[in-house]
Amino acid sequence: MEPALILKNLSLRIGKDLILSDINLTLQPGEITGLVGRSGSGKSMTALAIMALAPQGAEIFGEVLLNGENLLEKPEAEWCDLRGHRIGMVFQEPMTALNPLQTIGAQIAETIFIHSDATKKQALVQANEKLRRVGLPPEEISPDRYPHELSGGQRQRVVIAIAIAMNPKLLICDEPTTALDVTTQAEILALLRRLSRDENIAILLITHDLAVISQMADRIAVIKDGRIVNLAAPEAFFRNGVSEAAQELIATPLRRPPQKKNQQSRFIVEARDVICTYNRPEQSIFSSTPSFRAVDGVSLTIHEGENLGLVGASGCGKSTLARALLGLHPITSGEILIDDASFPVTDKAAMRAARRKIQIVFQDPYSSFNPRHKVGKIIAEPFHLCDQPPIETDQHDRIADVLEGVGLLARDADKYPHEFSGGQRQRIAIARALITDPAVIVLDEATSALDITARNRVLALLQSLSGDRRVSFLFITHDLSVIRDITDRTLVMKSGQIVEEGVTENIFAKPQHAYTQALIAAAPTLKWAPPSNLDASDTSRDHVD
Amino acid sequence: MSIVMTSARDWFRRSPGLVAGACITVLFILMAMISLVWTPYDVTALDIGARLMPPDAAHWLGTNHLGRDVLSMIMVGARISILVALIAVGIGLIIGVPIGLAAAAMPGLIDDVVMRGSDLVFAFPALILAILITAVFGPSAVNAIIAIGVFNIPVFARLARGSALPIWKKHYVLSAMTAGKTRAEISFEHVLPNISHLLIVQGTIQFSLGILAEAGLSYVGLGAQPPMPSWGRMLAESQTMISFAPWLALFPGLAIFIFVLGLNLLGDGLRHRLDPRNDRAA
Repeated sequence: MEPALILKNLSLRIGKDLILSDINLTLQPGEITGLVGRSGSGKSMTALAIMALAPQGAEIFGEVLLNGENLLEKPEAEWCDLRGHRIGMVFQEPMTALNPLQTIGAQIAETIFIHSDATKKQALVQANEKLRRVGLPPEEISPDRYPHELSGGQRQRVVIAIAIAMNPKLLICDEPTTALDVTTQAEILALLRRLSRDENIAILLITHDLAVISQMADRIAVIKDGRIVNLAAPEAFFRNGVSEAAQELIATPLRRPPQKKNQQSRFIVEARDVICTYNRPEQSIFSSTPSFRAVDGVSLTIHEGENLGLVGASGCGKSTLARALLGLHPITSGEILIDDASFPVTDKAAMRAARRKIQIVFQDPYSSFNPRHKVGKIIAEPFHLCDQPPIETDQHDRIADVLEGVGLLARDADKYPHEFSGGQRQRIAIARALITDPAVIVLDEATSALDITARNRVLALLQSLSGDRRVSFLFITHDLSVIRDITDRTLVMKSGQIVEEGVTENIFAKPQHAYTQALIAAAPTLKWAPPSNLDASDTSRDHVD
Repeated sequence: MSIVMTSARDWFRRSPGLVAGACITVLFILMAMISLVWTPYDVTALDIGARLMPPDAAHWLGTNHLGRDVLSMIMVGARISILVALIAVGIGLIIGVPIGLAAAAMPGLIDDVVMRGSDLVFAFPALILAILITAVFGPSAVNAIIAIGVFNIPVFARLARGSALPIWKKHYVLSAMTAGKTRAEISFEHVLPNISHLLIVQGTIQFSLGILAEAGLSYVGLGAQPPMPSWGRMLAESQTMISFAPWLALFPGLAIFIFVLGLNLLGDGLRHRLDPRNDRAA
């Protein structure tokens, strides 16, 4: 069968930097080719180069052959026809890929209308058909809905419907499930696999998640520094041992320390029947403001020195719960005790004392720091909580200490946050959380924005910190692998409530609640057991991040 | 800070409008400052013998019906224009920005009160209010400053509130709260520095609007009073003589036009340069 697309010695240069060099790849109809690599390895740039969407100033060399024609020689006018018509593209973030002001039916119809002779009415009829193909039958999901009325997974289905509207023979999916939680991810992946098999579409699936690739792809290409370093069918790929470049894409299980916790140790945080509500937008100025219970009667305890996991899909209320525990979101009813003292309180001194004991690390390493402050000043901010802040030289020593404690250098205090990589920034955030020697650190999706290598290193750092210091961690995440790797006990949250609670190993071995079972079943796992080779005490500075 | 090291030519190549606007602005400010110590002629003295002289070697921009030198009057007039606009922008910044920051920091009642209050000021026609103020307190440069300044307050309050709201969603603000900082401390330490570029740009724009407003007020006789020269009144006085002494209208008009143009170019250029999305140097 004729290949759907051939890349021949595709290279891309921006200024003096060679972003892609000599990419050779053949995409066959009905086949899923996985392109996997770390962030910055050039995988998204490959997709953009194929679609002729590379940034201005980029020079592209080599050939992109579609039906024997070199696409790189085509003028822009022809490209408009090719995109969408013969090559479909699915992006990571379904919300920004859709126009919020147009109904989903109209958006699909628009693509059909532009690329075919159909009238507007015919296009709308065809749009219904496309929606059915991606599992959104018009009887259940009206095509007159707007993107904000759909869930993340449904939106991504609409994006896919637009991408396949003109029956292209090639679909490029750039991290199509990274923004989705595990159960939705599994559904979208199943949809892509079905499209590939049933409709003979060639799919280029770009991701940083080797587990996803191992379940989906017919061939795996590993890209590193703009070169394809490994290209093989999955069986051969895993049988022959994984190359070094692929090795670093695997979420390596940490070497777990022996279970040290005795359940008798005292509670450092205790929450009883906590309810948090949000106000929904007012319907009219005369009716009372409707409210929404994001956290609906949650009780939890964090023991001294314990690693507790809180897992749930996005929107289940776990981040609101985290904010409530830190006094950043008011609680409607219930009670939070930190070290046996009620929290939040109006007394300022007591409030500061309580805040010293609980700190947080946020998900996004890019919005976590004031871009105009130096790292030293950022880390020193919680000194504000001390009744008598340490004198300048002591502060300086403490900052140097925590920086070295998280695997950075003391002189990094004089740099600005933008000089650091994502993984290094999360270390800075951890340093800031550590500086007041808190009893609990809440990690709100702290590793979700990192690629696998950086994630492994940050988790190893946290692992070693929890061994060295008497600090408890509350890991809030949708990523089950984090929970499995590092927590002692796990809470499963759904629709604002805790539905299951127990020792992590037991939860994974014998999940009781149907929701937990679904979560664990949906998590992609590598069809191959990786060796445990990352030393938990390895907190060395990650230069490569 | 590679911005500092970039050569002037490079600056000009990247943002010619910014450089041109800055040059014009500096030129007018210099002119106003020189007028403090020296003008070609005394702007208060009468010289009926040299009245209505067209531009020549002695009087570069001509003289008016009282024999006063137009160039000297434009130089002194720049002083009053700049002074009024600058103080009016200062009033807007000093009162408006804290109001806006407070509204962003404390959503709810304070936010509502502040924003409805600024709606109220916006709803008033500016000139009517200025006339009202001067009718009550009498026409003078000081009252012109107050009238223009009052209108700058809601402009800066809204801008500060609008640009501060997304900053309050940033995680570093939440981190500062977990570090026990009060909302006021966060506003000045984290929010203000990160919206300052927007305030600078708006300040430049309001400055140019202030120049126009001052000219407008003194045109209708509500600004600086004689014998203090001002661009607006020069225009008003030239009106009846425009058929035989067009330079009397032309040069103050040009001064207003070029200065406002320069300030707008400067503001636009700054907007472009200070926008983090266009920041290639950082």
